[in-house]
Amino acid sequence: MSWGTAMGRSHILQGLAILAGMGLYVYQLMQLPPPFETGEPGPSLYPWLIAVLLCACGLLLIRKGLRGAADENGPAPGGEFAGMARSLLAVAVTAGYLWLFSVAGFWLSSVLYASAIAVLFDSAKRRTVRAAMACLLIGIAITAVVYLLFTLLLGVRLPALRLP
Amino acid sequence: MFLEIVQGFATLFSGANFLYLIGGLLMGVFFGAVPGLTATLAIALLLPFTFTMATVPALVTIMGIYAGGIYGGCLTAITVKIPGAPAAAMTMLEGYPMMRRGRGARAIGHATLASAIGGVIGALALMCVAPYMVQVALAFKSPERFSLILLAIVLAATVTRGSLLKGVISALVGMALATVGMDPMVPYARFTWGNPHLGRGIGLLPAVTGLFAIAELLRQMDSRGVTITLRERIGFRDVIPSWKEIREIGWWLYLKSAIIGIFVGMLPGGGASMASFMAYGEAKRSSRHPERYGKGTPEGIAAAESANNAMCGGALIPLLSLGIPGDAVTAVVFGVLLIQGLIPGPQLIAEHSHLVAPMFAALVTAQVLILPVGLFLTPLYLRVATINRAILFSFIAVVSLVGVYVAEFSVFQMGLALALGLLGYVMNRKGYPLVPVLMGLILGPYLELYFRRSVSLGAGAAVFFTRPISVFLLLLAALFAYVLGIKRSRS
Repeated sequence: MSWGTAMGRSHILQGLAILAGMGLYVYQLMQLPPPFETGEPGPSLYPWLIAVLLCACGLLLIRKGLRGAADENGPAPGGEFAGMARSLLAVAVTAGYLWLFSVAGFWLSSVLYASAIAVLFDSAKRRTVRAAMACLLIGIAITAVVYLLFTLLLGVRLPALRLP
Repeated sequence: MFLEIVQGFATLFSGANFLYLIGGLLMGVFFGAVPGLTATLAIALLLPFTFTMATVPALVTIMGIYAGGIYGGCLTAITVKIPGAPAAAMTMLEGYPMMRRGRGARAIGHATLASAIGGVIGALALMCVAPYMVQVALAFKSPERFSLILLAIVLAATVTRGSLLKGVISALVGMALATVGMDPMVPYARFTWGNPHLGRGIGLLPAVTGLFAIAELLRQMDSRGVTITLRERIGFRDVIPSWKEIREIGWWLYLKSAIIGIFVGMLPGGGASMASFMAYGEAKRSSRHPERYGKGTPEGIAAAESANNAMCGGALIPLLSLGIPGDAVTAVVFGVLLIQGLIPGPQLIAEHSHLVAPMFAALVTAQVLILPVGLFLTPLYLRVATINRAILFSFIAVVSLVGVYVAEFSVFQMGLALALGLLGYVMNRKGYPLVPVLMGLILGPYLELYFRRSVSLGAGAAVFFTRPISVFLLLLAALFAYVLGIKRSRS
């Protein structure tokens, strides 16, 4: 049993993630009528086939992990989530952008978002007030360019700030 | 078809279409040259703009990006040993040693010439083969169409590099995502979790943006990035290859590599990387001086570049004649055609040849235009490729998400793109290829439709094994799965 080895664990975790995803998928699938309810293939037949195949693949991954097979894309030296901090932060920043976009409109949200992404890319190199100001300027310039692209080229009205 | 193609050239050179082509080509070379950016990403960013563009300018621009994007990767591969696009990895093996010997400009010249030659051969093959394949494809009924799509998905899952199991999982994930929304045959919403936004399913725009733009942005956040510093000045006079060198390489090598590129391009999931890898291998095997390979020989550059640009034409053959994308870029082109109200497949050439012919003309012309772009603009591109990553990816982040928003004026679609981006990032990190996901997502609904139609109208699932073409395609799928997947895994 190679649950203890990082390589095996990586495969097992991937297999379990697939099975968990399929659990949700099958839960929704159960709400659909049975595959041959009317005598002809119904809306649930094809999704059932996909679910069975994906579950089989998930189980194969787990079996690989239990056998200790090496995953060439196994965990980084620091662990399964090492080096992902900035990426996950970018996901959080993007989620915040979507919320602000619907509340504060295009300009404010996009300036802040573009600046934040620039800061995240720049943060590995320098952390000074001047660098932060440069990122803010990048954010303003990018937002202006995107605004021009969409309003001039597509003739689209982007959402403005909604006042209460 | 000949007359239509002549008319296609006339359309291309009339009005602003030619300017669109040049704009697309320049943009493509830029995206190809900058490490981390790809032709797929460039077309994904262009996708929302195509909503308001007329069909011909949209398709012409995309052909420019496609040709330029595949070519552009060689510039940084040769000069700074960082392939701008994955397909340029083999070019780097020979180009960078030449660069270190002070012959970098000449290496770029050979890459440019080979790209143009291979690209033109690929585009001509597209013009010659696609219309004839359409005649065959028009005879296909639901069982044959099901078997054909299944073959394409099997190929996409098995041809991609890495683990076979992961390729299969990627394709199945795409097919599962495609089941979200209305059933293709009866008005029944599936997997919507009560959310009315999901009733229309997962659109191609949030999918492409998520899987190729957002996922790439997150991946770039992980990496420290690359700093491009150019040690040798590249002057355009040094770029032009000598006649003697071209004769030493031999026309047969250009042609042979282009043919390899066309065939690899026709395989769904094959892509430019595999084309250049196979052509390079074959060139080395048949060379009179294999010992020169890896030390900087123009032969290797010519083989790799001729093949990867010829792949463009090859990948468009199954898309336009059978409705099956050959690689990630053609999968996005599939989406552009749908946005334009055209359904890729045999009817497209048969009924809309006035729209497809300018596309053929644009691909040939773009491959020819690579010559002046490569020979005269290389120094400029190398300077542009040093652009700050913070600026580049902030722009990509905003333009891609706003692009998704404007397609339906829906913040939900932006959220969907983010969710798919996160999925794509995690899958990429764990070695799951993303092209099969996109193929599964695009082809999944058709696979289900033809499957259910065939089973409903025929004698159950046996219908697939009673029709000769269907049986042939299924056997081919099994053969490819065995040879490309299972046998490779064992070895």
